[in-house]
Amino acid sequence: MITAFFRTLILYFILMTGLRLMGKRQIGELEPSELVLTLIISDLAAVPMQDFGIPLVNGVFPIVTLLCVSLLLSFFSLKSIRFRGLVCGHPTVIVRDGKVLQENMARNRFTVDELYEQLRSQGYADLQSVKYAILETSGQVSILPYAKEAPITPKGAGLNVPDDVTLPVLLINDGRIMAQNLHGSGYDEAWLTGELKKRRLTSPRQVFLLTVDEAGSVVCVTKEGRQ
Amino acid sequence: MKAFYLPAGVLALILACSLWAGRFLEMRTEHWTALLAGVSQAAEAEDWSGAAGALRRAYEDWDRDQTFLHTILEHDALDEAEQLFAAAMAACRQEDGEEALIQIAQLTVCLEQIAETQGISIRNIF
Repeated sequence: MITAFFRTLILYFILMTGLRLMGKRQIGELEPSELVLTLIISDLAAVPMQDFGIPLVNGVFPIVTLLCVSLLLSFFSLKSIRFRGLVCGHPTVIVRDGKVLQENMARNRFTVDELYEQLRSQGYADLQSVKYAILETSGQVSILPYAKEAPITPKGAGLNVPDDVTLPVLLINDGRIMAQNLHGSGYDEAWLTGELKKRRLTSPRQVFLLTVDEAGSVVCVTKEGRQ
Repeated sequence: MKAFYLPAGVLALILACSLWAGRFLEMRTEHWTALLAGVSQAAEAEDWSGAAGALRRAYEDWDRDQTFLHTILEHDALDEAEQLFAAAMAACRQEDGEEALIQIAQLTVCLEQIAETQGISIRNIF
């Protein structure tokens, strides 16, 4: 067991270091620590599951150890910016004023093809539209265009539009009343029954989805093929 | 600070359990090997009833810890020790001194190796 404990710690930090050295483009959407955790835990869980000759604790102890180490890394990452940089890395500017920063690209093993793929996927045909492109710690690229290339917004166009964006709350989910959401939104069952009656419905079981937003507007989707 | 103390506490608990399990197994192995040394001495003196009795006591003692051992050790290693116990008992029954001493020596080494896998050492970790 003690061997498994120390081996788990050593392998975790080796994998973490390896992934950090590989650069951000290898990571995808997960942070390095999350990816390492995912990679190892899935394998650790599978071995004692399949091989009955291996005690369960040989799988459980390393998994719990990894989860605790991961929680501790998160804790120290929150407390220390320097530690966070060490574990997660820092965002890297790869395009500044439409000019590719080749050294930063090379340091992260990020190719021109990948840069253009990211530009195209975000609707930019070439580098001339891009003021900054930043390779985030998650491996994603954030693109900030020049003001003249940015999509028009009401604010940019000098329009004064009312703020009518409200958060809808789910009150009926596949025939089931979400009582906590209902009461939390300031409504009750009698109001809900009234809303159903307005739509010629007799039971919440006939409803697939019913939401209400902060302005009180209700969206109701009935179940397909209801009687 | 709960976010720190909880995982740190669980880690400390795992470490303590692991160290305790290693130490416990080491102590039990010392006990079993001492019993097996008595079996060897009796076999060398051709005291077969004494050798068989001492070996049976050693086996019963070993058997009492099987549930715990199966939760921390790979079952193949335990099965091997079990087979060596059976072979040593058969040799004692047949009063075959040479074979009995060989089986007991192998059993002793097997038990020591099992205990060694749970000890904290650079050799085990790497």
